[in-house]
Amino acid sequence: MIKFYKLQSATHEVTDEQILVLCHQPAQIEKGFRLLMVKYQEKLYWHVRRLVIEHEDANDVIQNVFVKAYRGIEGFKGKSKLYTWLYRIATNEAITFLNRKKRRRTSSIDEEEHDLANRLKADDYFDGNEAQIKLQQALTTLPDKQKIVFNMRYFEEMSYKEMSAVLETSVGALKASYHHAVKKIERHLLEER
Amino acid sequence: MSKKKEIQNELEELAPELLKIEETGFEVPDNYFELLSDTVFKRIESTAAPETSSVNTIFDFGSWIHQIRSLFQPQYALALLGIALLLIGIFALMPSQKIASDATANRDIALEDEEILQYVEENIEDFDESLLLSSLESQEEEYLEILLEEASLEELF
Repeated sequence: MIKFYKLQSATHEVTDEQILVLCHQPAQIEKGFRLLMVKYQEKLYWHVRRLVIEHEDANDVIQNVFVKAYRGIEGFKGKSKLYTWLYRIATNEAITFLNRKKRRRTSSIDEEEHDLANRLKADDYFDGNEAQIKLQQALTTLPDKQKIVFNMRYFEEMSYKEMSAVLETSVGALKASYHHAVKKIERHLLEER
Repeated sequence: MSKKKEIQNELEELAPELLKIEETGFEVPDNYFELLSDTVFKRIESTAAPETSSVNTIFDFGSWIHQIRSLFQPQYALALLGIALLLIGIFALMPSQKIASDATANRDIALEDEEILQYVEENIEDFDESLLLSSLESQEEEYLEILLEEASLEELF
């Protein structure tokens, strides 16, 4: 098993410009795209996983993300940064997945919270403690918007400016969302003690 | 100030309990990231449109010429002429029949619609309310599903 830590220490030498030059040549696109994946797949996977929670779901979503990115890379002209563009695709795919899941759900939020704890305990790809389960339960009570902002700031340690570029929202609005999310989670953690 | 420090400072006052939890506890299968690009490329290849190779095109072109030439042998040419005359005869008769049948069908549909509306208006009291409501709800649900399918980041933020 590979443990996830908040910051990935691996650095990749290849630049986005080099990747894009390769991706814009039909004979080199596969090579370029594989380099893109090596550089961004872990960050994007964890971004998606924290939103959808289960590995199987994250695996489906991340594959869709890369298939869409591959089909769109030819038309990517570099108006935004490559990672901003990829994060947008990943966030969109994760939201679409969560919306579909919500439509299928028949249980209440309380039941969902309880169910989540059981699912996590039985999950082969979760090795967290009680505090981490409580955090995931608290996150299920947040609206998607606050959940995304919280994850990007708390786990991915993104600056408000970077988040603003990805989510195309003002820094002020993002600070407010993060503040609300943190307060709600803290309250939830204290109540559950 | 580093980003990490800035985030920690932000949380010290707001959420000291949260600050104690650093990881998610999530894991992935062994070699997952090593194999992910192969899995993605398999999916890309399986969903890509099949391409016709130039070798096949040349081969097919030659065989097409061969087949066309064979049709000019006397026995085939006579049979083809017969089929062509038969088809011309059929098509010469078809349009008027089609127009006539289309017009009849439209009149039937129009009459049916009028009759249905009239019947519903006259007998509205007899219709089951729950049946009417469920029909409306299912239409509304379908519409909502389409809208939600299109929901994206732009709508969320």
